[in-house]
Amino acid sequence: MKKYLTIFLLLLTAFIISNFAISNIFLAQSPKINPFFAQNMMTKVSGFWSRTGSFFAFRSSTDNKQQAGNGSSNNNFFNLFKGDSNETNDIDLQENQPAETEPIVAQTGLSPLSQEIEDALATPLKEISQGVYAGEKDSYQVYEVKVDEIDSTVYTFNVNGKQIKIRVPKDKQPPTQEEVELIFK
Amino acid sequence: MYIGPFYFDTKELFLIIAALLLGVAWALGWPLWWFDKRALLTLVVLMLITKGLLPSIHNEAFFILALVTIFLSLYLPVFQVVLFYFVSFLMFRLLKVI
Repeated sequence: MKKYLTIFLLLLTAFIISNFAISNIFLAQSPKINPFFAQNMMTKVSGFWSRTGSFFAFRSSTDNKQQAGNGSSNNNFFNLFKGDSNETNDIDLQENQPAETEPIVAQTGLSPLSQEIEDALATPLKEISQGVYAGEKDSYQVYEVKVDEIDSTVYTFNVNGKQIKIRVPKDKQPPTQEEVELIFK
Repeated sequence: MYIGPFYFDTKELFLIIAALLLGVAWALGWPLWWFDKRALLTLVVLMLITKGLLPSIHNEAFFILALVTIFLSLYLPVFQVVLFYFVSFLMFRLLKVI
């Protein structure tokens, strides 16, 4: 019985390895090796570390805020997903912070922004082109792109069996299949 | 059974007959449901070579590997199946399963 289990596990491992190799190491299900394999792996690994770092930075900042406030053991990060708005509001009131700070921190997952940046973000923006808004305060320039307001066409590309949708403004040329493969490979 | 200086056991003979049949089917254009004849022939040749190179391999594990590989050829591209076969065979050998 142990022998059959070993065989099954080895076959499963081999299948996973071959699947990974086909989609990452080799090009277009052929023996040609992807020249960007190492680069892609580095990007994936660094992206993973970056996301993990942001997650821990956010956890750390929210934990510190709670400790400085009421010392409660409630976890603010998980409260966002629970949808328990009462507890979140309690924390906001106790900390007496501007109401705009929390959503920005929650959306970006970064540590709280400096007061200067907060002031710059509060600057009223003017529309400079369709769907693009800009403003300036002191040395900061703020841009906001509202994708839904831009007249665009959605193009669907197939890269390595995955469908990738790209929204292109109507007055712009769509990218070629080769360009999309280079970006999303 | 000896053919010249080479010894063939029953399973090897059946594998050779299967390879010959596939070759004939491919040459004469006989239909073979679902399976790609060229892919099957490639796999059978690879199996004959690996089995020929390592005559002491354990037949049961090799039989399971061959069955799974042939079955996967129904769904996966040939190169992935060949890769799967070689990776499995290498791991079987390293862990002394065959």
